[in-house]
Amino acid sequence: MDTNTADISQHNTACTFCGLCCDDLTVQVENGQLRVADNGCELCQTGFGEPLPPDLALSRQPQINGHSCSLDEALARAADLLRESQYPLFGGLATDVQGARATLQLADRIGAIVDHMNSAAMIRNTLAVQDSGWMTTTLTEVRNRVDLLVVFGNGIETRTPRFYERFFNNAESMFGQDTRQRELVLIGARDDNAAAQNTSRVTRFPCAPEQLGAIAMALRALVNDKPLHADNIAGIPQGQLLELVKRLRDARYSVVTWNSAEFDFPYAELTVQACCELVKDLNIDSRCSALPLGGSNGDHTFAQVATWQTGYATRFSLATGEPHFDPVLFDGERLLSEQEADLLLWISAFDTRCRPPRSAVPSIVLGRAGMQCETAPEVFIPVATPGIDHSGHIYRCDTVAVLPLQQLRNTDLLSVTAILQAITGHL
Amino acid sequence: MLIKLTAGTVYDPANGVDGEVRDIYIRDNRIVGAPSADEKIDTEYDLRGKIVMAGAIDLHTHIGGGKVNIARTLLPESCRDEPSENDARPRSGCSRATPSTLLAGYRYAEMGYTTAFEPAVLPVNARQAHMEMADTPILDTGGYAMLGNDDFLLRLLADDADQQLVNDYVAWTLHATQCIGIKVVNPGGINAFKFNQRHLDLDETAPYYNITPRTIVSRLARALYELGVPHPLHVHASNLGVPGNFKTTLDTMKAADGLPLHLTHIQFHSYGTEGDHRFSSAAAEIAEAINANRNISADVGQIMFGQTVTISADTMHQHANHRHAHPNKWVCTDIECEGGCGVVPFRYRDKNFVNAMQWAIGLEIFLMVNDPWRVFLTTDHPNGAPFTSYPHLMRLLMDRSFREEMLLQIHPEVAAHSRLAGLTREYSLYEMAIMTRAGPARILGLQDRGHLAAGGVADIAVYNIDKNYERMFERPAYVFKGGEMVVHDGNIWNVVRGSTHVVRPGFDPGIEKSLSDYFHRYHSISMQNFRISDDEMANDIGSPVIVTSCVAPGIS
Repeated sequence: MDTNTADISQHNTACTFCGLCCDDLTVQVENGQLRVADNGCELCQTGFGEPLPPDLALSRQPQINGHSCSLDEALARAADLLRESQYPLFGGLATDVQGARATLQLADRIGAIVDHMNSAAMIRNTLAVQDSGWMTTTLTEVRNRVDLLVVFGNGIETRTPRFYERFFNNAESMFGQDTRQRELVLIGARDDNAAAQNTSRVTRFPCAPEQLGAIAMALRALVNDKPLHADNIAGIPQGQLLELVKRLRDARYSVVTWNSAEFDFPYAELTVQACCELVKDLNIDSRCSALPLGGSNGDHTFAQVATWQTGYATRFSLATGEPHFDPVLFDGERLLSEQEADLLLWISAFDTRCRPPRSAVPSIVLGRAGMQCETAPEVFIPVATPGIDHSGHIYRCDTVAVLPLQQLRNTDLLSVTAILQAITGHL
Repeated sequence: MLIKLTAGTVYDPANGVDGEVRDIYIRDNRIVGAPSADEKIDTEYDLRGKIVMAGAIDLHTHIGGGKVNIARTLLPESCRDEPSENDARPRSGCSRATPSTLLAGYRYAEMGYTTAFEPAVLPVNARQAHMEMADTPILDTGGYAMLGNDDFLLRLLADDADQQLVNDYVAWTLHATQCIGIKVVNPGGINAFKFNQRHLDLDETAPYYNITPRTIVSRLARALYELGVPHPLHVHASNLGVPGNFKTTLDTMKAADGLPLHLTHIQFHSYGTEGDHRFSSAAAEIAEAINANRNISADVGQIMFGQTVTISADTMHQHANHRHAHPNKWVCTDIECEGGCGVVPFRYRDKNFVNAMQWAIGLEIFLMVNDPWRVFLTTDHPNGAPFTSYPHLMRLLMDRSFREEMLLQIHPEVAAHSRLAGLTREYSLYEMAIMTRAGPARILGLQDRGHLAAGGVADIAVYNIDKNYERMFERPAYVFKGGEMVVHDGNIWNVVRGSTHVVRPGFDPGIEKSLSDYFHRYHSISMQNFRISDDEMANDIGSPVIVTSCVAPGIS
């Protein structure tokens, strides 16, 4: 690292560490160490503030089987492994737009399976869309229009920490609304959920995550004036659900939100679908929109680039010369645990904690500098982080805004793009 | 590098060349005059018996931006049903109606197209549109930024702001989004839908702002005229697809007060309410109005029978259309206090009266508009049909007996209810070259495209002469992009990267003060991060800009 770089204070910096991609941060740089001075949440402080390793030079050294080597040796070894592989899996895939493009180019060339580390959460939404579609909205609309927010699950403030601050409890909105009058309904939130603290008008419906779908479906039935032959649904009296339906119908712009990463149970795509169908049916007479929240590690970014280049977001194969999608067959964890894949290329440029899963399959790891793998991979190449070490682009969770990322410090680390292109050069 | 294209039969309407046998010379990326006798020709192509035209230009095709990705996500079966199987293409890809970007570039080039414009760039999503187009190989591209449902403009108009302020905002948007034109979609209607309004006519006042769509159209048309932007306001009029909407379309033409106006996918806006089905053709009224008003141009948005997917910013009407979704799944989205997006898969059926009439109405408009410089060949890809159906459409327009044969195969009442059977016109190769090359270049202000004179960029398509025009246009013998051969015998030969066409009208940068405040108070990203820089275009997005000049009125 060039520690002589002038220390800076960078305003309007975009964050890559959750799906909101807030771009109002002020980041201070001192001797290559970053600190978020303004508007930093916990996730963003951790992501930007990752302490520099004690032995900086060593942490930037590529390795073969745990032994330091030159970059050229690492690239050549990686190319050998890729060339010899019969069924390579590209996993992790936490990178920016350029990194995703380079990943797909290489995957298409050698015929790899492609599966992002967040696929399990992503695919719950994708399957619902593929089956019946949805009606959604985006963050600026919510900030200016929402008058009733219905949250399914508990994870909004832990996984997207500034959501309420920026989009629900914002002081000013465009259409003269008194935002203090906004109403919040929490379905399935735990008691320690802090969302209520800044909002006086909160209604809570406690339930287990697995029961969220039943509640959404019951609400949908009531929206459509279908009789329910049960006094209560998931422990909630039908009368209370009817009351909520009335509020949804009366709202000028209600929003139904969830984070699919929380829905960690079998067939959770049906829960997502129940929420989506509820929203669609409310729009027969009134306005209501879904807002799928969440995202990390460049998942939306990879999904968007992969969708425009191949037709599919994740869990697809390029092995046969044309893209094939299968959410079960091309589940990376399954391919590794059953050793169907014979090589893993793992890309994780944002978070040193997102290491490759344990498996007996040999691996090439492109990890954010400072990453410590549990067992030494065949090849480890430390990489630069987008939005810190180099410029780039990241997608926000509503996938409509693509934020430009700035280089905040000078390092000699190479980007995922540069490394993948160099590996391709060795093939 | 000096290339000679020898003795092809040249159709170059921009220079009045109608089927003359000529030699064309290419030095590096441009067409040049005949070199001196002692200059060495590096490569010569014998084009005797072949037809030479400039590379084709599609001025309205949805090939980039979030809405296309939504369609791809919604329809994985479209990908499964028609994978790409062509070893000549360097990258894989799939999907018929909304092909992957790589495949879109290959398929366009394989038909002799070298430039294409995405007409619905949502400003906040402009980066994505440009990224997708950067990943669409071979083609040069460009976009029209959508205004007219964004709350910033509607606030200006509600305050009856000075036209100069509107001009500044329009110009700022063109710079910030790196676009070449401005499109308005269902003016005010997408915004009204967010207030739960389901209908908005041209002279109805929109909720909250109390302004009419007519005001939005006339103010934006004036802004582009006064800024000297070559492409007139690109209008997707009110009442898309609604029977009887031709009256709204005629009124929208008048809203321009004689200023230039381009009406897009006008087929979808040319419907009457006559007959038992309460659905009829108003193509004659629309064509007559276009013929009579030289300030008006239109692209057709022809439909073809089969499965496709409709993609539109017009959430108001796409939401209403979801009842016709086939397969039954659809997406509607409100977007960023700027606009919206509706994606509804659709299957046009030749035995369905309305669909068959839509097919006939599109062809009627093509055949009844006299001036090929003011009507453009589009299917509003993928809304009417995928762009890959262009060669078939060309044959329908150029071959009367083929057209009549097709007319016999569709819903039997259509022949009786449309004028199509009586229209004897056949487009000539010269007229086809106007409609797909010279015309689009002129209306977009592209000085060095769409023609074959010295100084032009060497984007050239060479076709084998064939009486079956569909076969002729779907498989060029050669295509050159910027002087590089990219297609040989209908197959991809070499892949080059394209650039992005933009305009840069002047404006008072003082507008950024109110914009910055607006972004800070209401938006979810900052104005600084909203703007796309030239460096970003060239590097991380991957498509450097080419600036087309603006000429303000009164300056010659």
